[in-house]
Amino acid sequence: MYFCVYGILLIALQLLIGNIDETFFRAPLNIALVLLLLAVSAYLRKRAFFQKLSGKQTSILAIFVMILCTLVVGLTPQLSPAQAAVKGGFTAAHGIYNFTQSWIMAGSVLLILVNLFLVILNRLDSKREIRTEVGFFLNHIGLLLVIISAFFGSADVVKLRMKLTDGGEPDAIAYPMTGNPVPLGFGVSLNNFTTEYYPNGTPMKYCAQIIVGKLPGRDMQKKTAQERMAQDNRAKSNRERGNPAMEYATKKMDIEVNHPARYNGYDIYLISYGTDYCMIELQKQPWKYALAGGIVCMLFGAMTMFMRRKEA
Amino acid sequence: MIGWNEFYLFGIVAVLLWIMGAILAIRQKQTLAMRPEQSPAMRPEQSPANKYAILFTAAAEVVLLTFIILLWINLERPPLRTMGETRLWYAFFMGIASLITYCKWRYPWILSFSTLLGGVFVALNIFKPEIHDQTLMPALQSIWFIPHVTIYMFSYSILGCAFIMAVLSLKQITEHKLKAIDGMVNTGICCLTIGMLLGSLWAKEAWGGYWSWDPKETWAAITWLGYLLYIHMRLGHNAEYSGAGTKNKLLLWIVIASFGCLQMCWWGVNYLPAAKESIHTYIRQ
Repeated sequence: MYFCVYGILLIALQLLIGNIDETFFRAPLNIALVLLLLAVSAYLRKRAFFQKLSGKQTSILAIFVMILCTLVVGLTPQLSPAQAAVKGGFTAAHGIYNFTQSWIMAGSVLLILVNLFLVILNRLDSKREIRTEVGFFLNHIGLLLVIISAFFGSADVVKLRMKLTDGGEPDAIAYPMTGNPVPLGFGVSLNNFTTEYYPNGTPMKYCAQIIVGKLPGRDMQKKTAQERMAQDNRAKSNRERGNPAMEYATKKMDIEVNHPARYNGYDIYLISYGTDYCMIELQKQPWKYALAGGIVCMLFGAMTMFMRRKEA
Repeated sequence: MIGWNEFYLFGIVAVLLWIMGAILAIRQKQTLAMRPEQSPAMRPEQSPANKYAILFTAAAEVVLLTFIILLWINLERPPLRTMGETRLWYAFFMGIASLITYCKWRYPWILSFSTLLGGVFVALNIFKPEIHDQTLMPALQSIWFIPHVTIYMFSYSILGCAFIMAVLSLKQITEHKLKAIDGMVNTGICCLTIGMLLGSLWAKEAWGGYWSWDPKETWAAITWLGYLLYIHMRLGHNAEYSGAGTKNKLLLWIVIASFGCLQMCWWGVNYLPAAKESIHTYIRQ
């Protein structure tokens, strides 16, 4: 009964509002929401309604609903908002081509999340022998961490792209998928782009060497004479080494496929390339450590489960 | 140098050994059934596994493994990229998975089915060889590559065994079969989980996100959720093993449907319209 109401509510929200605007849920709102959700569930968990939410039937229902949602994603082409707008029609207007951001999907994830959290709490109460419970806790706490940081953390992900031309001037502006260009506070230029080939002519390695650093002329007013002199000296030595474009505190970095670089809190990836340019993506994903922690937890959980099977 | 041109030799020998193993396993079942003093109460797990059946199947695995290693040396990269290469691993792991199933649950028919499936894969590689170039494209040059793909191939084969058992159980449900399916799904989902998580760690390094709802990822998630549904529905229902209850039928159908999703994930996605956009396509046009 409750679940029917919940489902109808989600569908109504989807029809009325359309997909969720993730940017609205940026930190600290997402953190507040997740803490509130967990606190309320923990506080009220002895109530009949929350007892029902923590039950096995709810787990099964939540997994089943999640399968249905994922099937929608798997069976319909998933498009960017711009592409979906071109498609038009009822389904496009209500977000089926971008279903992972729909209220229905989010609602299903929330159901799994609350159920998972309550199941873990109940299991903590049950005082079973810890040795047999290791696998359970690793798997479920890991999954909880993964869901929280992937789901709530997605609002805080920053993805910016830059097109760098070979030998071009340094650029300090990057572009998100939607919205306004973002000033990075540092400059990026492409020093060179190399491709190595196998003897039969297929590509073996793509490598973009970029130069990052503060652009000249920035922050100069705020500095003392001494700092300015030091900066000038660095600039001079940079010029002598052949990096005249960015004169202050430059750093050369190689980016390859599978080998991103890190600078100023950004992870920098090589996305694509052409004859005289390459495309890089700069990412900030503040929740990535929590997510990685959850993944590692689940990895050990799966291994524990595997080993227990062998023993049995 | 040993390459795909020599595969037919290894393939034929391996299939012949598999067939020998399968026949020996079934023959033993029949001889046991003919002994009146044992057969009525004799549950399959009590009958000893046939030594020679194990020996022949293991020999087939050694032959295939030898080919894989020689191919690896010849290609100078792990043979894990093309469909032909994954079929090779599948055939290999199918044998391993069925051997484990046979030794652990003493289910004699499993060797015949794995022979059939493995044989189909070997035959496909002999008659429809996708002759591959020797190179490994930059996107696949990663330490995550080998564990990610091999563990997935292993889980595919063990879940393949679970699928076969589920189909057979539709006709006649026995507690023994259900327990075997449970065991295989449990092992399979452990490997699926590990494969998926290793993939997500790799994806973070290669593409910048742990998960990007790429068609292959989406179908991997559906498959994983399907088996997850199975193990959660099975929880606390050990008493319900016996009988052809609707619940057991439903569980069998979940195993069958999940395996369908697994096929979708493995090769079916290539035929979806969305596949054009997929970042998991590694076969050059």
